[in-house]
This record gives sequence, C-alpha cells and structure tokens, in this order.
Amino acid sequence: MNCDETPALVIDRLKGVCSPADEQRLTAHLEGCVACRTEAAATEAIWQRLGAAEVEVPSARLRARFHTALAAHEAKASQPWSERLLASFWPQQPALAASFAVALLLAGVLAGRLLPSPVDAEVAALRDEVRTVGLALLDHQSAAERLLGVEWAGRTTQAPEVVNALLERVQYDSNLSVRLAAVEALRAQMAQPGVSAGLASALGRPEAPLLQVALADALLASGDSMAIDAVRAVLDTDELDPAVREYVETALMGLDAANRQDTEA
Amino acid sequence: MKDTTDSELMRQVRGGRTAALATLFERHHARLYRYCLRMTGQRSAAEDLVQDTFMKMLKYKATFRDDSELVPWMFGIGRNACLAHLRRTADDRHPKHQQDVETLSQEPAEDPRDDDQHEIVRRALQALPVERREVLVLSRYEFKSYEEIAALLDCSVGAVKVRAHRALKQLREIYLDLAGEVPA
Repeated sequence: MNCDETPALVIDRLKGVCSPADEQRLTAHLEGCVACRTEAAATEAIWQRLGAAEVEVPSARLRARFHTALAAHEAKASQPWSERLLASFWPQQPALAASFAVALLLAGVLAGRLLPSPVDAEVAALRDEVRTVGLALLDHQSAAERLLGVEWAGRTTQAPEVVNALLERVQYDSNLSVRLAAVEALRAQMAQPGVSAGLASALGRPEAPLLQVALADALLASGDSMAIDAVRAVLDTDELDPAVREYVETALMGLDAANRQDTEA
Repeated sequence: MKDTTDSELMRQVRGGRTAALATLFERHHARLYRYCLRMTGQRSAAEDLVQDTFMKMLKYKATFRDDSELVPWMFGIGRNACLAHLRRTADDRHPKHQQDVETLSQEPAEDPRDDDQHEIVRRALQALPVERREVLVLSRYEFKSYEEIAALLDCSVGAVKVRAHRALKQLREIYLDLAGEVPA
C-alpha cells in the first residue's frame, strides 16, 4: 500500500470498522513509514480527545416543552376534552336529555340563590389575582413559565388584555414553542377584534416556517375573508420557505375548491 | 416482551397515533440534542432545534415510507434544521459561541486540566467550517456506519472518509493553536 491510502484506513481503524486484512496492511505500512506513523498518531490523539468530552444532557425543560407542544397538536386534532367528558355521561335519548337539562337548570338556580354575595366578591377578587399572575407568567423570563402562562390563557375567559398578551407572544417571543402555543390558544378567539390582524402581521416574518404554517392554518380556519387574503398575500413574499409555500398553496386550493362547490350547490 | 421498533412507532404516528411520538422522543431526543449542541455550540439553540425537529416529524410524517429507517430520517430533518439555524445566525455566531463556552463550563472535572482540554476541544470544533464540523460530529459520535453518513450527506463513502480526515487534520491544527502547543 502507499501513503495515499493511509488516512482512510486510519479513520477506519479509529471507528473500529477496519477489516483484518486492511489492519494488517496498515500496520505493516506504518512500521516502515515515519511520516504516516506520526500523522496517524496525531490523528488518533485528536480523535481520542474528541471522544473524551463529557456527555451533555438536555434540560428537563425540553421534555416539558415537547409534551406541551404534542398536547397542543393532539388537542387541535381532536375534540375538546370538555366535549368528550360531557358526551360520556349526557343521556342519548331526547326525553332523558331534556329532563337532565331541566334538573341542571334547577340545581344552578338553587345554588345561585344559596351562594352569599360576599363569596362572589371574594371569587371575583381571586379571579383578578389569578389573572394578574397569569399575565405575569406570560411575560416571564423563562420560556417554560411563559408556556404555562399560555396554557392558562388558553383555558381562561379571554379578557382583552389576555388576548393582547397572547398576540404579543406570537409576535415577539424568542421561543418558537411559546409562539406556537400562543397561536393555538388564539384559535378559539379569532372573532375577537384585532386577533386576525395580529396573527396576519406575524405571518409575513420568514424566520420561523413552522410558525408561519400554524398562523396560516389558524387564519384560513377562521373563514374570515381578510384573514384569507392575508394568507394569499404571503405567497408574494420572495424569501418564503418552500415548505410553507407548498402548504399555503395546497390549503388555498382546497379552500377555493370548497368555495366553488358551495357556489355550484 | 420485545419493544416496538422505532419504525413501527413512526408508522403509528403516520397513521394518526401521535402519542407514539412521545416514545420516540424519549428514545432519541438526548442523542439528537447532543448532535445539535455540537453543531451549534449553544444549549438553548440545541433544545429549540430538537423541539423543532420532533414537530417537523409530526408535520412531515407522510414522508416516512414503509421501508424508511427512523434514525437517518430523523437526523435528516434535524440536520436541515441545524443548517438553517447556522445560516441564520452566521453573522453573529462567534459572540454567541463565546458566551456558550462560558456557560458550558459549570461542572468542574476532577482534574482541572480535563476542563481545559474539553473546552479547547469544543472551541476547536466550533471553529471548524460547518461542513467539516458536521462530518466529524456524525462520524465521531453519531454513526458507526459510513454508509449511513454518506446517505445523510448525499455523497459517496469515499468522500465521507476524505472529508473526515481533512476535518480531523484541521481540528488538530486549531486545537494545537488554541492550546498553545507545538505540532509534533
């Protein structure tokens, strides 16, 4: 063998994939060639140093973020849990369902009369306090805390300041997971003033293709003509990620086809 | 009982059982994280990229064919995410790298000289051009088989070996320069 073959065989040997025959040839060559022997020794030394670096482990936050995102994805794809829970015990027969509804109504009226008013005031104060804490979470330094804030915001009554805080997360959060979770939380609030426009303004920013897909999806699902126009407009952007372009084009084609069918019907 | 294979789990994800992705995450996220960390030199970026990769696996699940192997497919997605990130941050990568080197040195080794060496190796790896860093990271840490690396990088096995050797040689020079040692 000659010196040109040595580097590849040295790498093979270091990776442990050198055949016995090649190992024998390499050893014989190195014994007789000082230059290759020196080079091989130096290569092995840096290879070993690379391998000696300690093993890094990801933080627990990564797992939490992943599971939050997965849950958001599943929630989007399936029926809300509240509806599933209701369906599991709600009577199927109309007569029974009506009786059940009347019973629930009576129970509600009775409970309302029995509740003393000071408790209402305390509950209202507590709600205000929770809202303050929730808004603070949405502005927290830690992305994991902000995700908790978004989760809270998605479950709570959507006061304007909560919606605005979520839109701010979509627009400016440094963490993609928080931004995606905020989009998901806002999907149920598309009818509120400014939500469509806020999401549309974030759509034109090309630095996060995954976010653009989520935004386009939310805007198209709203059925609002201005929101759909905003999605169409993003196709004019030169630096649009090809995957996003493909997704938007496909979604718009599906929407147009559905509209045509409705018109013909 | 035999564990369900990665490919089977991914086929389940493709079929709509997205919960199976959680099992794949548990099996592979640490390995993918180490790859992203070695490529970017930044812990927070590496975590974002792992998250991004798994969400893209969900989004592009239809591209996982019946004969696909999960790890190369997943690394293909992770690699694209890493390269896109490195392109975006190319202008300010150096300062971020410096900051990250500082944060990576939180747990002292038993021998302080080990800390120094680990840090120099990390800095040397980050100083390599992306293409060389990538082939080195893949061949030193991630894949035993040259064929897998060649498939991932879309080149021949011979090209992988040549690139790996050149990368090692350049890494050695940078390492010696940073360590203030004289080459043998």
